[in-house]
Amino acid sequence: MSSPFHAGQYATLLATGLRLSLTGNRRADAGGGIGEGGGNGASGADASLGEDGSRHLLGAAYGLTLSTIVSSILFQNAAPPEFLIVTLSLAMIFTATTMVGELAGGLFHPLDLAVLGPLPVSGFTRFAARFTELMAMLLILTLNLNLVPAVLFAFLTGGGVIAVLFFLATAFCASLFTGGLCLVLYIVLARFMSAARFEGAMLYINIFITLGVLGLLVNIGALIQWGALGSESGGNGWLYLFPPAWFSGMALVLLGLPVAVEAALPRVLVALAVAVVPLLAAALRSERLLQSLGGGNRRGRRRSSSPGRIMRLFERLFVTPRERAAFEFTAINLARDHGFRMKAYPILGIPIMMMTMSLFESEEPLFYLVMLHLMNIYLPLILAFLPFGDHFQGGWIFNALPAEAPQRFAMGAEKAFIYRIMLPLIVLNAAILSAIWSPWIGLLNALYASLVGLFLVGIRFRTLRCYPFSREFRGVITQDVMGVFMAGIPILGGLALLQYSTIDSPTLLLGQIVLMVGLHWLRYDALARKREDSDDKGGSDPGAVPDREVESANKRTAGTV
Amino acid sequence: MVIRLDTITKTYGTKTALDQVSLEVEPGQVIGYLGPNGAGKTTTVKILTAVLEPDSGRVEVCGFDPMRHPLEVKKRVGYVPEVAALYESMTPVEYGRFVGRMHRLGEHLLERRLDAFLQIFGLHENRHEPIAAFSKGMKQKTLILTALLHNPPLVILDEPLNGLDANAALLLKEIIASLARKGRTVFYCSHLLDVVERVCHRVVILKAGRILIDGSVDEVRSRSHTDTIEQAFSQLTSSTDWAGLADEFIALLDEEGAP
Repeated sequence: MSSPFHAGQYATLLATGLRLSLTGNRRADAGGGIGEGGGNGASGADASLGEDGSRHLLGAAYGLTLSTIVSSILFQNAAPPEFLIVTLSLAMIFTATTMVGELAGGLFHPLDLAVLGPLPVSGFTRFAARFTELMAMLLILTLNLNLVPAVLFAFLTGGGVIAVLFFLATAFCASLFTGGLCLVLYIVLARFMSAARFEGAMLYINIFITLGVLGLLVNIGALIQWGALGSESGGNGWLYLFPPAWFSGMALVLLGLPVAVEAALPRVLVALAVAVVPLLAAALRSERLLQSLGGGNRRGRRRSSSPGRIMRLFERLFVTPRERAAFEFTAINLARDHGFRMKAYPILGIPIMMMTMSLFESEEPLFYLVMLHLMNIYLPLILAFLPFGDHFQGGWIFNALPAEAPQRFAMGAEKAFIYRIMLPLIVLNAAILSAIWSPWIGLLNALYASLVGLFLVGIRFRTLRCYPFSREFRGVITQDVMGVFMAGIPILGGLALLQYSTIDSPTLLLGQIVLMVGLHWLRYDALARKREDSDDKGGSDPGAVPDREVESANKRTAGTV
Repeated sequence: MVIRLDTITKTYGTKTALDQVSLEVEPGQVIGYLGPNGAGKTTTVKILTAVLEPDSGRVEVCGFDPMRHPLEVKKRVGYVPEVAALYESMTPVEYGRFVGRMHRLGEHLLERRLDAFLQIFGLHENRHEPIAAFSKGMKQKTLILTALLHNPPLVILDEPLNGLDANAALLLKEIIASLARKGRTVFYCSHLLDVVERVCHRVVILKAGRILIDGSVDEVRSRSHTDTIEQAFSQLTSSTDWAGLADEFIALLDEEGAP
């Protein structure tokens, strides 16, 4: 019988795990052996550590920038308690996002079952290595998110190096707590869910967390106000319902700053217990969790393979038979690709959440219009995720099929994007705006904004250089996206103002909508005709043949099955 | 000719993958394309499927140059790659529809064929489940049936029996034989030499980018003075004493002792 802990195995596992985590190759199981299909980037064989590493670097830079901006604002406006509570909140939420998305999965990664399962490695050794790896990553994350706030906090309190150290120690405790909570989430969900559903649940949890970050940023002012009240009166009881307040209390106690100690300390102890207990539970249940996630019956949820009624209606109205393959392929994957949803939905949720939250504060009409057009600016950013898919290795099929060039495949894909992403947005925006204005005005304004956004989407699709969901995700902050983004801001700003000028004149707005529908119709018509011309001449695709020849070839072979 | 390769050369940097390879394949032939790892089999397949361009030489697939008329070639080729990578969030029906529509099959024909193929390959019960939930064999069946949906005159199979159970393998071998009888050409790459011997009319053995032997199964056996294709392959592609090597391997294990 093998011993429960083996130091040599632990060191090897830890070193390998850290290297994979830092270079972003944890998902390397998906990348191997697909060189056979080759071409059009539909291969993960060319994955390199450097490029994957840059994704983490980008995330780290984002976290550092965010924490620097927020803490700089607070440094000028807030007292130490408020400074602590807001910066810790931000760091905890950011940590939770990273944990849910990247780190916690490492503890129970199904690959471990496949790779380490047949090897004589005890569950405890494996968990110890993965846990240490997680702690190391949490430490790096904590330093990245809290170093600038810690230094500013030291200046704010005049506490010097001690204040920096106490701040960082508190922040690490907060990270441990966040990690513990995420593990609880994993344990509970993995206990009751299949691997497929588990992934879905993680997606929505991540979206809620991301929206939580936004909620925090939007309400910084309100938090400062609450915190200030608390510091004056020795602590606002209900404020301690929020975990960040427990840890800000801890830092204040450590630094000897005024705080309601009797309120803060018990909660700090509870927080630390909450952080430790799930980790112990996870250690004890490690193997069973791993098996429930990675092994066993992975029978998928049965789906209807026929398009739903609304999709069929949309197809019948707007999609030509030539575009149908691209339309259905893109629509199906837009709805089911976990990676795409994980990246795109939170981005879309931001302006929606801002609009919804502002309903309680009765903003100026211009605010809602700006939010509508902010969504339009986000659309090309979401589109930048379109080439990447969880099952990108399947992209070899575009090499084997008589697939049209990506730009021409894009027409069907664009309509799928309209159906899956933009149509629900129109309905949602119309519903929100109807709560402010009349349903008719709400619908008109939502429609107008979407038609404007469609121009941007159209431009982005024309520049599509690869097939949807056919590449491995490596980050999308590319020059062309930023170009569309930067060019889009003044244009959309102008259009928002134009829309604002017609806010009291629905007829004028309706006229503009009709005009834009006409322009879009002309655009699609021109593209379709250009494509047909290209087909008849042999066009840009040298091998293209007229439809009738293919149809007759199909008829000739129809009776042979 | 369905396939015509005329003195094809392809290099990757300093490595020559194909060196002056010439080959002609007629309709109705099942050709076994064999070779050790790195012999140039996959490079040939990539050239035939218009993925790679040769450095020199002429290629013709179903009467078209794959580089000048890639879509024409792709319309006439059904390709099953060695690795079963599929869009796994789709169901086999959805994936089949996508492939069929890209081949511009009529909707009725596509639905009829897809339904029948799923029945034949034993996937009908699972037709509404995501491919992600499939076993390796089920994924391989999905790949095979979608590659044949458009009834291509040339079928390229790269290790098609990967993951298939015995019954499915038997079915595929029968399908290959029937395709050949119907005048379809099958280009069969495999390391399962006994299967190649039973299924193929003609065998081509490749080594280091050059064709070593090309002929019918009987011709290859008689020219190499062996009883089986496996023996012929071993004799032509390697001078290694496999039995001696295996003994050496076992001796090394004994040296370390049992765990």
